[in-house]
Amino acid sequence: MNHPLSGAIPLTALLRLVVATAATQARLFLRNTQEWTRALMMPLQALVALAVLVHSGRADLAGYALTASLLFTIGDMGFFVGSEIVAGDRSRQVLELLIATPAPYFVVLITRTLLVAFLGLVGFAEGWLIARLIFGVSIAVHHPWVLAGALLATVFAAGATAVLSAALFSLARSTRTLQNAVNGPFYLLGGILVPVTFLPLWLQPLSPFVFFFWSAGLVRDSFTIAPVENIFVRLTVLLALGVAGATAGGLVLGRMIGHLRRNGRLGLV
Amino acid sequence: MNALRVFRFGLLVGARDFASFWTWKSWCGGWMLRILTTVYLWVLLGRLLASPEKLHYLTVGFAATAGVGMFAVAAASWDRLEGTYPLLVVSPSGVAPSLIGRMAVWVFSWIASAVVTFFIVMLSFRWRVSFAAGAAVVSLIVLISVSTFFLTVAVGAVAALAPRSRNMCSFFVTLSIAAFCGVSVPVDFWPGWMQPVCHLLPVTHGLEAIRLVLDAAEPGAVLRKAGLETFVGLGWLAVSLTILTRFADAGRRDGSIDLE
Repeated sequence: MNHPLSGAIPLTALLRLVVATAATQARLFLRNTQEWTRALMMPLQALVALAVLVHSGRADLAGYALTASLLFTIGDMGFFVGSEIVAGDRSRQVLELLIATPAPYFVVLITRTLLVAFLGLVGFAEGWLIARLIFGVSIAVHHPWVLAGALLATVFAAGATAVLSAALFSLARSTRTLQNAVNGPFYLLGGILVPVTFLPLWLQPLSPFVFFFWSAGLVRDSFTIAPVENIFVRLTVLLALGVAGATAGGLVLGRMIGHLRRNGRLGLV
Repeated sequence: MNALRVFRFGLLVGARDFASFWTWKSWCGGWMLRILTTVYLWVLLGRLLASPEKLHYLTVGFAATAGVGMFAVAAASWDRLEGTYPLLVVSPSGVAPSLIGRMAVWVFSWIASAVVTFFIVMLSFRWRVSFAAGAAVVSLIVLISVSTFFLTVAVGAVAALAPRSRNMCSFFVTLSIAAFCGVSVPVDFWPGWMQPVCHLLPVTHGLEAIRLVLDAAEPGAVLRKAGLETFVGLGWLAVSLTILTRFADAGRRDGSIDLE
C-alpha cells in the first residue's frame, strides 16, 4: 500500500517527483496574491527596527534588524503558507487524489514546505535594500560562508518544521487561531530581533529548543568582525532540530492520514 | 435612526465573525499571548539599547497600540467575498452603516488588547500611575482605537475593490502606525516632507497625549493633543463615508458592484 511514509520508489522517480512538485508549488505560490505579497510585506518590519536603531545612534546594530527581517519572513512563510498546505489540499479536495497516487505524500509535502521556506529568503534581500536605500546603512558580511550555511540550514529547519505544523494545523478546527497564536512566542524565545540574553532568566532555558535561536545567532555572528565560534556544532543543532521537526511531522501525518482513511473522512473537512 | 438600527445589525454580524475567529479562551490564551510577545519583542530592543528613555518610549508606544488596526480592513472585504455586498449597496440604507457596523466589532478587541497589554506592562515595570492618569490612558486608548477605526474603514473600502489585496492593506495600516505615528521613533525622526503625513494619521496625537499623561503634564496640553486626535479621526470618518458612497454610486452606474 502507498503509506505516506513509504520511500520505496526509485531515486530517479523520486527526483522527478521533487522537481515536478517544486515547480507546481512555485506556480501555486505565484498565482496566490495573498501568499506572494506576504513574502514581500514581512521584511518591511525591518523599517521599524532600523528606525529605532538609527534614531538611537546604533546603526552598527543594523545586522540585528536584517536578521529579524529574514527570520520574520521565513517564519511567516513556514507558519502561514507552509502550514496551510495540508489544510488547503483537504479543503480543495485534492488530498484524496494525492494520497491515492503511488508518490509518498510526505515527500510531496516536505518539497513544498522547503520551497516556500526558501522563498522566504527574499526577506534577507529586502531587509538589506531597506537598510541601504532608506537609511543609507550598508551591512557588511564578514563571514559569508557562515551566512550562506546559516541561511541554507534555516531554510531546511523552517521547511522541515512546517511539515509538523502543517500536519497539526490540518487536524485542528481553527487553523487561523493557532497560526496567529504560535508565531509570537517562537519569535520571542528564538531571539530573532534581540539576543535571548536580554530575555528574563527563567525563559532562557527554553530558547535552544527553538530553531530560530540557532539561526538568529549564526546570522548575526556572520555580520561581526570577531571570529564565529562553534560553527559546526551550531549548524548541526539547527539541522538536527529540522530533522526532528520533519520526523515528528511525518509520524503525525502518517497517523492522521491512516486515521482519516480508516474513517473514510479524507475528503471531508 | 434607521442607519443606527442597520449599524447595530452590522455589529451583530461582526460579532459572529469575531466568534468564528476567537472564543473567550483562544482570545485570552492565543491572541493575547501573540500580542504580548510581539510587544515584548520591541521592549527587548529598548533593553538592548541600554537607554531607560528609549525603553520607556518603546514600551509605552507598543503597549498603547497593541493589536490596534488588525482584522478590520480585511472585514471590509468579507461582504464582497460572500456575495452580500451588492444587496447592501441596493438596500435603502446604503452600504455604509452595515459595513461600518460589521467592521466595528474589531474595535472592542483592539481596546481590550491595548488596555490589557498596557496594564500588564505597567505591572511588570512597576510604574506608579495614579487612578486619574490610568483612567486618562484608558480613555485615550479608546480614542486612538476609534480614530484608527475610521482610517481602516477608508482603507478597507478601497481594499474591497480588489479583495485579494485586503491582508496587504491591513498590514500597511499596522506597519504605518508602528513606524510613522510616534510608536517606535518620534515623528521628527522622519524627513520633513513626511511629517505632515504622520500628523494626519490617527494614533500620532493620541499617543503623544498618553505620553504627556505619563509625564504628569498639565491637563490642558493633554486635552489639546486629544482634541487633535479627535479632529484627525473625524476627518478620516468623512473620507471613509465619501469613499463608500462614491464607490457604491460608481458601481451602480456602471454595473460593476460585484466585479473585482
